[in-house]
Amino acid sequence: MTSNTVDSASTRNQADSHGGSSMVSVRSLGKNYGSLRAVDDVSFEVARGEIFGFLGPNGAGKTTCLEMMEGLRKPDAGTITISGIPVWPDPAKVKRLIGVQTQSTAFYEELTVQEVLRLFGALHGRRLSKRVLEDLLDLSGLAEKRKAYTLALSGGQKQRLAIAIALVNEPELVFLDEPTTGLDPQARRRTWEVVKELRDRGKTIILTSHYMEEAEYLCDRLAIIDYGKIIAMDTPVRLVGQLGRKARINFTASRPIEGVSLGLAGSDVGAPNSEGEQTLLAENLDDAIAVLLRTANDEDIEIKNLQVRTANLEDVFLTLTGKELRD
Amino acid sequence: MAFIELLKANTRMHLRNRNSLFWHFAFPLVFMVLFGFIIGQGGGQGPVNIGLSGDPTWTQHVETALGGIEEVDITKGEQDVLVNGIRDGDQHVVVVFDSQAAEPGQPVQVEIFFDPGEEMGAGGVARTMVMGALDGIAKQVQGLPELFVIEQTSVAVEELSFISFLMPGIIGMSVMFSCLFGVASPLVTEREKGILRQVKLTTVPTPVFLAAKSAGMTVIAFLQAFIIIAVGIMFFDVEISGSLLGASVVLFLGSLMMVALGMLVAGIAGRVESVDSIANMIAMPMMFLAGTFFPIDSAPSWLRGIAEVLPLTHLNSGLRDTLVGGQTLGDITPALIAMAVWTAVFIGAASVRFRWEPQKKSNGG
Ligand SMILES: Nc1ncnc2c1ncn2[C@@H]1O[C@H](COP(=O)(O)OP(=O)(O)OP(=O)(O)O)[C@@H](O)[C@H]1O
Ligand SMILES: [Mg+2]
Repeated sequence: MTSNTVDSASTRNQADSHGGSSMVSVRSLGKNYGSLRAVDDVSFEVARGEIFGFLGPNGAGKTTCLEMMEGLRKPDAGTITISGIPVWPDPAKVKRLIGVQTQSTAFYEELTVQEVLRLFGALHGRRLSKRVLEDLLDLSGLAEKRKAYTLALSGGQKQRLAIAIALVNEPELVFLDEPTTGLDPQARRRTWEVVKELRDRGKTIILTSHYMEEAEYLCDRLAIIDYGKIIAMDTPVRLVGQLGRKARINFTASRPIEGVSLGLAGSDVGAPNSEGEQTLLAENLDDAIAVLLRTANDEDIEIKNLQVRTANLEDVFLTLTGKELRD
Repeated sequence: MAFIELLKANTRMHLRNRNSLFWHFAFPLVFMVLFGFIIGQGGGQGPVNIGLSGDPTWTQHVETALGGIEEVDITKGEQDVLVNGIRDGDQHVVVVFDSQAAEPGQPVQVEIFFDPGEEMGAGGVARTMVMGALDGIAKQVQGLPELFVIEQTSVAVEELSFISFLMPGIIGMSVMFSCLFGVASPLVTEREKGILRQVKLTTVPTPVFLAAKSAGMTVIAFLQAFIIIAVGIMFFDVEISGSLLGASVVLFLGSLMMVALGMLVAGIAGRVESVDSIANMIAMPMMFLAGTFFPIDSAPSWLRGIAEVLPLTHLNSGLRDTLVGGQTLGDITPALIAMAVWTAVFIGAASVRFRWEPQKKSNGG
């Protein structure tokens, strides 16, 4: 243990000043793998009861960040406190507070779902009562699979079993590392409901994701991370809001609408394509729609197939980094 | 409580896995049956032992006829002693000439004692040699083909006594393979798949986690011994003589020792693929050197020196002495001490090498 990287005295001081309000407090966290700065000066707070998300592409450093918070990986710099308790240098102290679903979910294959849950309960020193076991099975939607071998579970069921395992010790803080990666949309929604249910039960949740719609739907607050750095952090709505009211409007008009006739600043209407569809790129969605409909009304043009796509986190990421979230 | 649940889980997993069921239980029985029939009854190596008794003239003739052959070992002595030698496995065939010197030209009474169970092996070879020699002598010495009146007497030897030697070795070997592989492979697989880090995130102390794994293998070891002994008694007439308490202590300590070795192998092995090769590299030579199937008395002395200290040697000899050798717990103290020392060494080395995390990260961009 090197004491210059993790200074427990200063950690405790910080804990005193933050402990009451926030569940997690991370200050100037850093981790190098050789010359690679996998996590670079990351700081954030997570409030109790919040769902906090890390959104970022492959290799951004999300898992590394989580593992340092979970006590699995020792930071090279910075401090982490959970409920006021410093995670390092002795991660055992926070084990009772946290539940972890790791990114790779594998189980003892020759055990059934309920045997695995009981086993992990026992590993936490708890005998799972029938009520607790039933609750975990219901919550994770695995009640019917209780006697199935874990080997025989589908991808979504495995992910949910991993979440259930993370809950056996009734933690206050739950880490979910890519809980829905590789799942089909239906299985993903199912997992989302589990996460929402956890939030309703007052758990604090830190999750990672590649999917902007997932982050948008689940997270109260988001950190967008790229190359180990947090490049933006806010609520999903405000992150998107930073882009202004940019929007893309598609429509088919009975007679082509001339761009100039709209008189909208910063907007442009393209000529109709082969199917007669026109596209309007608007700086401000509300103004653009209003003007478009008024013009159509005034000039007696019929507008059909009106489609509006507002900016989303994908566009935020694109704007911030100049690249797509998923390669 | 974590210990009990883990023990239950580990035992369950081993008994539910067909692959490990085969290796734990079917494999040793296959070995026992195959070796029992092949080595036990056929193709015996080494010298052919022939005992001669009775009229000195005729015994001298036989000795002259056969003594020059390299593989033939001739012993002269009392009839009773020699015939008992067949029961003990010291003699293959005993030839007794009527001591009342016959008149020249009169037939000579000869009794040949043999073990019918050895007909396919050295016993059969010996009898063929003796018959040939008598035939030659009759023609050569007397010119009388009908000189000898031969009576053949089969000596009831305890059936398959070789199995009695083999059975404890089979138990020792199975315990070694099961404990070594049964701990090393799962540990490395669990490490690679990230199950170990899930365990690390719980509050269970590492020694408890590993002790439960070990105890699960001890349960398997006792099941193995029980099944092998039961089959030995029922189908191969093995007679147990010794101390079951002693054998239990040997089994307990032996399984612990092999589990510790398995944990060390798991610590040395980087990835799943290398576990089996490392374990085999340790187990295979040990299996043969430790006197599992046959004593290695004829090996060069340096090899015997190595063999004498091997962990499996002590497990095998401890089991042999207490299961069929009539010895008690106190008699096998040296073997127990040797196993305890090995266990301590393995545990020490394994704890230095123990890792929760896979060597290389398996996910990520
Ligand atoms: N044990 C390790 N040794 C060396 N480099 C590592 C190690 N673990 C991660 N890295 C590297 O650190 C960077 C961050 O990895 P990390 O797993 O934290 O990313 P991630 O955001 O979780 O990615 P993904 O979305 O693919 O899970 C990557 O470039 C990765 O290759
Ligand atoms: Mg990751």
